[in-house]
Amino acid sequence: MNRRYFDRFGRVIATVAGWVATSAMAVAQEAPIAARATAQPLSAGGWAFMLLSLAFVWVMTLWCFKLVLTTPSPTDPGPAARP
Amino acid sequence: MSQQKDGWGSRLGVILAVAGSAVGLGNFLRFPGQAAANGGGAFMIPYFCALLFLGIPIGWAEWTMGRYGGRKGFHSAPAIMGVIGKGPLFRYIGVIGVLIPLCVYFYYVFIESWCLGYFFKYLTGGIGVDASAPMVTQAKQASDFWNGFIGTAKDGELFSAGHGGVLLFWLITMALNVWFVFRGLSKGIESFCKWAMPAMAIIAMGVLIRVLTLPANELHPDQNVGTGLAYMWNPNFEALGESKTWLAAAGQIFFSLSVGFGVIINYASYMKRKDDVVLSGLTASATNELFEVGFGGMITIPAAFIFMGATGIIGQGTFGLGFNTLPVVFAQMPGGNFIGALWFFMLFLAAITSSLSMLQPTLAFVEEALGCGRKKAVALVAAAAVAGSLYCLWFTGGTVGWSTIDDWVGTFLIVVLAFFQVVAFGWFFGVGRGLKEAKEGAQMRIPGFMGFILKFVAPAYLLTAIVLSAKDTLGGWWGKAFVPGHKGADGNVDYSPVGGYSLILVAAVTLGLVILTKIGAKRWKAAGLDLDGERPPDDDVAASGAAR
Repeated sequence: MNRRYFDRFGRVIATVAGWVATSAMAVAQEAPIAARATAQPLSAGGWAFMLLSLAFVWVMTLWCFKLVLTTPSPTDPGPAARP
Repeated sequence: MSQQKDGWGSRLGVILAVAGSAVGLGNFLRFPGQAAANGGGAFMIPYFCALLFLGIPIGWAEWTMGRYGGRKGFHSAPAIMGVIGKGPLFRYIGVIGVLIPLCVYFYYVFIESWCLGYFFKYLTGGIGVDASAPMVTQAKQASDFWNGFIGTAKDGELFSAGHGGVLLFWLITMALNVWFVFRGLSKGIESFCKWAMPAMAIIAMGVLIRVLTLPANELHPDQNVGTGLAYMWNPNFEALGESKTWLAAAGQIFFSLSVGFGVIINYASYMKRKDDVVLSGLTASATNELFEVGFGGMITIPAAFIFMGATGIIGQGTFGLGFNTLPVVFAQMPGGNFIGALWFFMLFLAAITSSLSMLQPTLAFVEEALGCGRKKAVALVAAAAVAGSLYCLWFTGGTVGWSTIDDWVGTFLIVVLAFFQVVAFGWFFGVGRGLKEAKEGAQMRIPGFMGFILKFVAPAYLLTAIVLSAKDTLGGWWGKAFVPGHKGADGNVDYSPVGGYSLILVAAVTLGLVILTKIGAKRWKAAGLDLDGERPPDDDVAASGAAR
């Protein structure tokens, strides 16, 4: 059961842990932004947060839908329900 | 007494219906504003923590309670809360689970009709923002159009000459909602969401590509896609040291996922005993996050920054960003009318998938409480929805009428209901029993520490949020509504009797729902249903919808 749990939800936790670790590195390197009212280039931290956040939501969504669409459910009409 | 069975046609259908309920205007307009104002990229740290340790667990609890209630033959929040909380106290608290979706629907359908109206305007030439005029003039043109369109100048303005178009859009929107709900869960809501959600994703992708390929501002070359993304995503870690950032992140997750709204508990009640609530809940949440972070976080702020700079974003609320700032952006953009039409059509789809989910809980409740058929229940709910919505359409002056309902019901009561839901789940139903119940049919296991979160962390957080809201905000709202001459923080009189009217309307609706609950409880008891959750968990009611 533990292995099954790690295989499934554990991947989400592991992804977030990696995300937090990378963010922590960005925290260490990034200087505080004083004036946000002015145009500034996308910083290394900005890139990191943007790409990791996008990767997280895309991977989580695709992973969930892959599971939903590839495993049967009692609600889904089975062969008996089809004409 | 009708015994018509209602239910979902597929697991994908219920997931998309719940995701459709969660994805709304807030995903595209509120989230980017919150993130940019609270640390940019750094906001994502508390945001994802709140998602994993608050939003998803509370969502799982709601899915589980709903499915369990459905097994006992109930589909409405009062009945299910009575079963979970083991008695009449929680049954009457569960009335909030019908009050919220119904009262929010009153004004949400009005906002939805703005999106339809703007979509139509952009299809037929735009809203009259002159791209050659100075930016300040353009902003005023967009603002004037919006204020005229929604009638903020005075109460009853929408019923005066020249505003027929707005009422027509409202009528179309209302008719569409009633039609889809009338067709039922599977043929109406599910079928529509199965089409609307992919359509929204495709449109959002198209708009995203357009925004990311925009050229730099000719007058201000430093305002380009890169700096627009930087405004949204460059982290300000100082914000992490402020408690308001963490509260804002938790609040955004909370409102975005539709937890504490009375919708998930109703939708999940139509699931079968072995249907997977864990994966379904996680998938619906993930879909919501994709729209919020993946699309909302990449489109709105960068587009606004390129053409208007930070001044066009700072201080704009959700509606200001959507209906004042973005029309100016579309006016500058090559092919702006087409992109504007796509954008507002997408917002309309996001809104209607949410508003459908607001009618269904009330419908299920009326069916159960009165034991009537779907046709009669739809007629009763539609009549109430039209009456409440007409109130919001009449009292548009300064947006006091509907924004008061939004403040009290659409914001404060959501937290209250969520608090009582997690208390019922964690303390009365039993967190161990609840997690065991959730495991039935689950393809993935809920980690054990979620039990601790649901029993202690979530109630503590929600109680804190209730106290802070009551202390900081409700006092002001009460004064504005009931104390003539009441002065706001700026020292100016902010009293409006309309605020009081709105609260009286909410109180009247609450009273009606309480009476219906009392009538329903007598019927359920006479029918031999386990309305106080006293029987063993396996003592299911065979037929779905037995309470009808």
